[in-house]
Amino acid sequence: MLEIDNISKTFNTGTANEVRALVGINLVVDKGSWVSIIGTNGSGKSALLNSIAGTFMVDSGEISLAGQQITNWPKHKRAGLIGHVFQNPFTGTAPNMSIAENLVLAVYRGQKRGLGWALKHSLTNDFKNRVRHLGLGLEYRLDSPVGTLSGGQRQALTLLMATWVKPKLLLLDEHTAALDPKSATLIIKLSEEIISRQNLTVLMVTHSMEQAAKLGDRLLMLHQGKIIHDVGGSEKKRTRVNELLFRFDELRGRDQMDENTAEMLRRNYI
Amino acid sequence: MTLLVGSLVIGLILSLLALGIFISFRIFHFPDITADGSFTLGASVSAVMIVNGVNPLLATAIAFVFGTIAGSITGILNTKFKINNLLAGILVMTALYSVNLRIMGKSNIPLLFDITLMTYAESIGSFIFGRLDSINLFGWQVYVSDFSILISASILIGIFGVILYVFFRTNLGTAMRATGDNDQMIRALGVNAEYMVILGLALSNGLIAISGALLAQYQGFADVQMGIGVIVWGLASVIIGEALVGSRLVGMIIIGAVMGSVLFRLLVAIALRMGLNPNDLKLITAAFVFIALVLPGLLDRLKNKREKAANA
Ligand SMILES: Nc1ncnc2c1ncn2[C@@H]1O[C@H](COP(=O)(O)OP(=O)(O)O)[C@@H](O)[C@H]1O
Ligand SMILES: [Mg+2]
Repeated sequence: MLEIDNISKTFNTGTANEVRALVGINLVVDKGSWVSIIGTNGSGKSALLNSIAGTFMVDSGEISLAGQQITNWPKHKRAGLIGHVFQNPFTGTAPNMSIAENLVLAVYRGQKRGLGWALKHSLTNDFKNRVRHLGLGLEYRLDSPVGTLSGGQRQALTLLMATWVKPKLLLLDEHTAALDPKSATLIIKLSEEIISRQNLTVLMVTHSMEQAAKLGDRLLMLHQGKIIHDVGGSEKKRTRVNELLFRFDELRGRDQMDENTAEMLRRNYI
Repeated sequence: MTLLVGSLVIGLILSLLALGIFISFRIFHFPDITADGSFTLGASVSAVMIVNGVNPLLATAIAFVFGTIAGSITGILNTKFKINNLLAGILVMTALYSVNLRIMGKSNIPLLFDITLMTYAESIGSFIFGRLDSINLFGWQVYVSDFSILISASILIGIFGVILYVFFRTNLGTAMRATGDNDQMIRALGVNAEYMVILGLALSNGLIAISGALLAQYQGFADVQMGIGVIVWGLASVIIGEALVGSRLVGMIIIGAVMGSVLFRLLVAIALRMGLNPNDLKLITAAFVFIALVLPGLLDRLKNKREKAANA
């Protein structure tokens, strides 16, 4: 489904601020797999997702998705295959437009926008039904500007928009990190529902060890732009992951994670 | 009376300018100075064609096309060549000054004896009212010719308003509005945001060029200087319009821009009548826009301070 072949990305090359955000990443994700990604701040988690979404072009390597070589595709073209939910609830919606207008933009994700009337009656019925599933009462507020919604509501809407047309790949980038615990729980519940109903292929970056342990069938750990850890889903492995997560949490807290400790971790726990 | 009707007509004509500025400035947050050049471009292109016997309707339509080209160039400079939006507009505006002189061949073209859209409007009027020279309108004597131009201008602007409204509610128009509202989001939904900016600026400057073409035909001449500072007129109209309708709905904003433009012209006419020196007009308009731009923020801050003081 998703094949990443040795991609690298360096920002601000040749300056004092040079950052090697991705260093020779290789990754193959099967169809229907849900991969959780953890790592310290600045380890390249968002960079990995953004390189797939086409927010920037990689310096080297190849990316293919659903059988297509997308390495050189511009972002808007890749968006036809990819749903993307960001950490900031403000990023995924247009605040001055109504809920219905935001949804209609998602209905045609990846398609040419023509001169047809946007808010067709048949669509608004659809909107009502699927928005009702969110369980937030938003179906009565389809004409309200999105700017009047709470962060959690906006993120729920973004999630719905990213998956309105079934994406080949769903990218979730710490999509609950900016929310209060109650909203975060709700968004995770919605994510699980949508992902299992549509049987989506997912890359989910998370700041929450609990989410990483509980969700998905595979876990990646990134450090300094490299995948330093990659476990699949059997029960046995999961217990060890929990230990590792505990350790990782500890290290992260003390901000001691460098190349050597990562190497040590890998040898000790896998 | 003629003065009042005159400023109403100019207000209506310039409402297309206001709508153009609304698109660039309010939808895309793009302070597009191309407006000053494309306004004159519309006037010069249509004037040259009209004196050469081209049908004025066709001449005005071609003015629109030229305006869209000017706007697209600004859009391309900004999006493809990554030139800052102000500078992109300044470059095209500056270039257009020479282009306009080239098109006209001189700095001023009179249109007093040519067949323009105003001639059309007047002949429709005399067809309806026959030989009457003036009619009684709510107790005022109004020249039939003035009256028919006013009505024709209202109808024309009405048509443009409806077309724009419908456009902004289509899938393309909705995507365009969303691009200005949150371009990161619209990219993630598969829209080429750069293309939207180019298209939006093309539309904006096309409307502005029509506005220039109509004004030239109404006042009876095109002048290479006539576009200087029109962006500020447009802004003033948009701001007044927003205050009048107090709504962010597309339809209301379009109505507001037209009302704002007409009201702005009336205010100008009154100020001039009361003895304002016409040379000071641009200074006063600029000061007005300045105040209108900073006032909402200032009021907010004042309110916040008061609330803080009240809470303390
Ligand atoms: N557009 C950019 N320009 C410059 N540096 C960037 C950019 N995006 C990411 N980086 C840098 O790349 C590194 C990885 O960033 P990121 O992937 O956002 O980290 P995280 O794992 O916290 O999501 C960081 O050092 C960050 O500063
Ligand atoms: Mg990140």
